[in-house]
Amino acid sequence: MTTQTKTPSLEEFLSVTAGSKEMGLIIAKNASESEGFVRSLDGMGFERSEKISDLSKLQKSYLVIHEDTAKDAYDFAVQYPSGQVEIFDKEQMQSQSFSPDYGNLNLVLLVVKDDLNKLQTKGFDLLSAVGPAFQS
Amino acid sequence: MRSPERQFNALTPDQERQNDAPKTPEVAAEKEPIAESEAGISYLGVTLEKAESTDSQFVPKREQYADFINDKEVALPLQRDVAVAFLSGEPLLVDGGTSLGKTTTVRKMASELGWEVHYANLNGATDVEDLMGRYIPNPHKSKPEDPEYIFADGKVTSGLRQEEGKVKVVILDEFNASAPNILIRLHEVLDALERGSEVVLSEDASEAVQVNKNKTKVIALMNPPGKGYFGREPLDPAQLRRWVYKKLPSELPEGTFSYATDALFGATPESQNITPDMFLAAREQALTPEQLQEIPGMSEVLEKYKEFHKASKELLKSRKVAEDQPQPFTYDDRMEPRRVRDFVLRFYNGDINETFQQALRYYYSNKLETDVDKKKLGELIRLVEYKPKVGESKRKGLEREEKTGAPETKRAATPEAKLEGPVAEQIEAAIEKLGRENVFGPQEVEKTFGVRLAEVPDVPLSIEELERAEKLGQMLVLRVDKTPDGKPMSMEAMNEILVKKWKKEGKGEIFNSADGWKNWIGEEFFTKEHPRLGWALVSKDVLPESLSKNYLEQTEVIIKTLKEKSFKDLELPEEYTEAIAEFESKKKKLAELMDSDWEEAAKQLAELKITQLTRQTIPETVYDLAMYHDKNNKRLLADTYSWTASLDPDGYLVILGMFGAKGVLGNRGEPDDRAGILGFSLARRL
Repeated sequence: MTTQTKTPSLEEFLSVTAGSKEMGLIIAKNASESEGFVRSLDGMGFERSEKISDLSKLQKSYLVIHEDTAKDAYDFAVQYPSGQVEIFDKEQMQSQSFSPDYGNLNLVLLVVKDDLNKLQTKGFDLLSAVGPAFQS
Repeated sequence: MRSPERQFNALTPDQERQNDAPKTPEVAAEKEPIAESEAGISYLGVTLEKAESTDSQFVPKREQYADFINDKEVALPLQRDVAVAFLSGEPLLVDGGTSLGKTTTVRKMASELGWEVHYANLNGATDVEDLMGRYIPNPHKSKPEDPEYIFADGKVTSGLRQEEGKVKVVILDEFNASAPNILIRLHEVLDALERGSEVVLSEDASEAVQVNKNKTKVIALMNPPGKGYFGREPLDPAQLRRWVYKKLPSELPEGTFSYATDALFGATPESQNITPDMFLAAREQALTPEQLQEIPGMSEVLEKYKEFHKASKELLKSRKVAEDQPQPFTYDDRMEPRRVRDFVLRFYNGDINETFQQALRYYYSNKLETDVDKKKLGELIRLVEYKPKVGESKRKGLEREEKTGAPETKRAATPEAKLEGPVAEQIEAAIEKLGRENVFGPQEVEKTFGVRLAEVPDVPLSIEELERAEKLGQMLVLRVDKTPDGKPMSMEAMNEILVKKWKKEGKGEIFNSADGWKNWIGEEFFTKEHPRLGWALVSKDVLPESLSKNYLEQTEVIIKTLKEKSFKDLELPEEYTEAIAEFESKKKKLAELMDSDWEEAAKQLAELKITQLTRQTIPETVYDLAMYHDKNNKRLLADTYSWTASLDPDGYLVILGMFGAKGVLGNRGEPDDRAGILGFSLARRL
């Protein structure tokens, strides 16, 4: 008898991250799959955050991590489980504080695998900072 | 009916509680590890004041931490140690694995205290200006004369600026991932905080920000270098000297994991057994450095501390401790002694040995990760103690008193009674078998209570009995029933004698509230009841097998102990044979009475001959505890209760113990009660 492991769908994954005290992380194999995930997320009612402060304003939201947002996203994910997140706007030099209402939030980060590997070696240990992770 | 085990709260610790519920038997909760009052929060005894002004987006919301799990291995000690650092204004660096909840713990404490949190993660791409501030285009420019650029505070600067009624915590997360230039700048900030001076913002044409460590608390957090954490190099040990360094485990300890998991799944976690030694208590007013020299034994402890410091450094240097810790550290020759001194000033509780050892655990043991290493250092810490010299000649005594500056000199100016003859020999034999620290004869009576006996009763003990007493951990006490003025040696009299004496000697108190005791136990009892004159052999601690037993079961333990230990292979004295026979004949009826009429059962149990021969009364317990503490500067029954032979005015059997710097606590119980901290001290009157 063989045992089969069922890979959960993106939808199932997002049902797990809903209400979680840690952010979710979606790892795309490449840019093309990342775009596909973006379309799926949009289709499931998730709103795209263009900058990190948007994450504190939206209930179902995702942020695509790239070089410019990596530090902010990492800082956000690290603080998220601690009950309070301080977001610092380097341009305006202003801090804003956000208290996650976990029960009503579903926040995920989306990153391409190669970028994730680079970030990990730079010391941004995203895999430790987030909760559930998904890859197809 | 068997009662469930219960934790006894003292009926006598303070007047307020006494007035609230003086005569109601209470099944009380354990001493709360985290206690809140209107003004502050106490973390294992270390109290921090709440902020006056809490209206700020940077104050974490308290409801976020409703499910925070206070386990005894990590969360509670961490909060206590953070509280100590916050209280003293020392910067704290906490090194531990990611899953331990370091940031959450600090934010949770801030939420309770209403303190602001200013957070900066130093990992990558953070520059000095992010932390200290920089010029930015003026977003409010509306007129030509408005400046083109304005200076905006960085994350650290906003935490440093003082605002009326606010307290701010600056969290520097992932401290060891920070760039060297940032560390240098942050160290300038720490130095300014320590001095209470100004931080010069070179980023803002040298504006100076006045800083105050009472208003700004700095805590750095880091994951252990290596161990799978990329980008974390070990810090230069020299960079750690400004910080009070606390090492947490790299992974969640098994006990914490189990407790937290049970709590998460709604299962009732096993009782945590928060022990009294986990608590610290800060003084309401810190001592001054000048007052330190008035503490008896300080110079001896200081000498031992110097030896300890050297030995600790040697252990570290030879890698006999902290061998596998990736972050090297030192025991700094300048910083550690200053910190230990400040700890003693703030936490001295009347027991210099205890306070000093707590300080050494905080500043030395806390840097170690493993229990094995902590145990090695703990063995050295235990040696840092003051042992009063006993039985020394008058001349030596005076020398010691003059050296410590204690005003006891005058009191000792009259010659002590000189003891000769058979009694002197009997006492010497007892000292030989039990140790000098465990024998309290006429010299000790005079020294503690000022009573000089005209005649000293014989010590009716054989060598064999003394040997058995030594095995049972007993001390030999000569009890007297009158004060030097010929009044009863009552609790009131003992209090009057010891209040003045111990205050001068820094030994704490015998009763926290004499009025509280008087109200509870009755004025007649408090002012008249006295110890019975004569020698007694008293167990220094409660017998382990007497714990969690009701009064009747404890009495059975007494008889078993007498037969199998105290008088093993010896003939039982006639009075004990009679007392045991009496108990055996009444045992069944007493058991029934405990169910049907506990007050009558309590009365009959207290009157039993075996009770009268082997249990202390309240004044006797107080007397014995006082004698031991006065001579040895160490408190017996510090974390347990002993059930006495006395009844309170409502007919309950009285319990004494939890003897701390604030005095001995009292409680009471029905005969069928039992508790894990309630036993008895076997106290044979001779």
